[in-house]
Amino acid sequence: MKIEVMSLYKTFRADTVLADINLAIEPGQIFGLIGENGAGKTTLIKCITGVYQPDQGAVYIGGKTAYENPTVKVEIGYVAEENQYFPSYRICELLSFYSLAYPRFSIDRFYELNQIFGVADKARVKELSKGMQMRLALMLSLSIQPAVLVLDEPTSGLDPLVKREAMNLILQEVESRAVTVLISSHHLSDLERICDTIGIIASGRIKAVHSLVELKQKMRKLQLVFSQDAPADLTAWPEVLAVEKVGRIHHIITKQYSEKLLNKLRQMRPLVLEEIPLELEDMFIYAAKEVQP
Amino acid sequence: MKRVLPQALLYKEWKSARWGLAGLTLVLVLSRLVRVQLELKWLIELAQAGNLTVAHHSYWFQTLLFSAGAVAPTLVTVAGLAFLLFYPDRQGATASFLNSMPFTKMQLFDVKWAVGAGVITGAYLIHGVLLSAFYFLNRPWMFSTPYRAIPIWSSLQLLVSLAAFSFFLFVHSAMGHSLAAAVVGPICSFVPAFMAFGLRDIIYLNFSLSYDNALIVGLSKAANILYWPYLVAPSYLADARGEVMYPEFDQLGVRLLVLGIIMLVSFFLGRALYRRNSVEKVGELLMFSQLEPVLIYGFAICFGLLFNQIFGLGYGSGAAMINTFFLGGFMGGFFLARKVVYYYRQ
Repeated sequence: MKIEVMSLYKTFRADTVLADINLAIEPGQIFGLIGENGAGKTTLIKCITGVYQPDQGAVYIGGKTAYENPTVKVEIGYVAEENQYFPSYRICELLSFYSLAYPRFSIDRFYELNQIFGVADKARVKELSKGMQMRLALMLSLSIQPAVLVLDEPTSGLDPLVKREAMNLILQEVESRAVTVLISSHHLSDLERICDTIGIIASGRIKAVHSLVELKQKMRKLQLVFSQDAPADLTAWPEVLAVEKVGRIHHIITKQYSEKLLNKLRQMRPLVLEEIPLELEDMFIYAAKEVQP
Repeated sequence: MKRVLPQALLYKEWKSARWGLAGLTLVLVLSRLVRVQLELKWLIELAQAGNLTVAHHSYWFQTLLFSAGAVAPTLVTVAGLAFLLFYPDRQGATASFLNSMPFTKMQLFDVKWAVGAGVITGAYLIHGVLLSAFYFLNRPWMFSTPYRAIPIWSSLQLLVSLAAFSFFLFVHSAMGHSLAAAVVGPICSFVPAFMAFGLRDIIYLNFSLSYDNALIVGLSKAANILYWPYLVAPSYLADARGEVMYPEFDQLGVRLLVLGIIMLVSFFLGRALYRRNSVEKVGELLMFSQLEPVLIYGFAICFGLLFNQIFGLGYGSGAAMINTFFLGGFMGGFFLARKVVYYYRQ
């Protein structure tokens, strides 16, 4: 199912939390949402899952609005960043509740997933640690066999092994059932592993949307060493996002990497010109700096 | 049926409300069944000692059954039931969870009401069966009390509880904090009568009117009508021989009709408000900022009236005293209510 967000605005009293958000996430796409704390990620997610009503604009899931629409909500698996289940419920009671609420909920799938996650089904929700509660949320959301999976910080509290398993499961869901995934996380290495598109949100606005391949293509980190100072003010170049200078060593972060740019740099006769790895986390930090209001 | 009352919600609300069923049944049994049992035990002891005059106790069962004393504990239990049903909805994360699930707000409200009303009816049914069993097992000791006393009392009390429950759900729908709503709900149900009584006293003293003045009489009547416990207060009639007074609910149909109207109006108002509830307002004192002046000024007026009722009436000379305490209470109440509203907003 396609997720479409059109000119979305959300205000809490006098604060505009989301402004003019436009997004389109195609079926089978894994969309990573990144942004600093308070940027509006969770509010956007709650608008998409139909928890919040947009003040202006609209959210469509498979062409229908999600707010107050059970036929759409039944297709959405939502994992929130904090525990949201009834604390006094035992896991088996939560399973009964889910099986009555979601027609496609599969108890077999839940226990199959529990082979990996290992949550005691006799325990009460309040007895589980934060990590265990997150495992439970992931299992329940996957067991309803959703068409859309919305995950808000799903890896927080998970140990590295389980985190890897969880990421693999999401990839399997996309591969086997073309599930549309929206995932927000501060663990950018996780997003880098599974996402095909990244959106950067800052101050309640989507500042950039890139396919990860495209982003990696455009955004590179180059290391240059000059015998003296750099002969030109590199920050003024339109292809350059940022320049860091330590002595005679310059690190250039590009926003439009090309062979033409490399030739321009070579003409400045650096002693060294080499590309060094740039991870998504670094890309985010530089991109966030660029989109600072 | 499944569309109106989804099974998942029935399951969830029943898990919350079952304690209400146990609590309300216990309250009814303790406030009525146990009392009539103890009374019968005493009558048997009197009879064994040869001191029982049947004519003086011919309506003992009806008198005990219709007497006051059941309304307050049932009201508290029903307020507790409404709290249990609303508590998860007023916890930030759980509210988000419920609203992300395939239910509409109307379904969430309807199921709460249906389960709550079912639990209340169930408690009265259980108690009614136990009371009937007691009645028929001890039929010779019932003397002049007809069996219809049990269904009449039960149906009137049931409708009072249902009307109160619907009213409490309405208050919960208007407020974002379940504990505050559980306290405010029962208090609110007495506010109109309290205001009418207070206003009557202020006018009476300020304009030096007599108690048989038409305005004062009118306000007293209005206050009596608004004081809803009168709806379950019986009238006392003399028996055929004029020896014993016994309680009877006169105008039963009107009483039931009024309670039914209160229940339905509260239900539809509560439903309309709940549909407009926003998850982002959960935890705040009020769900609707438009209601803030109503709460602040309403509280201030009640606080002022309370002050003049406690300190202003009966001390010193009339109007000056009552007005001073009313104004002092009003201002104190105003600042207190405003502080509380802003505190919960943060």
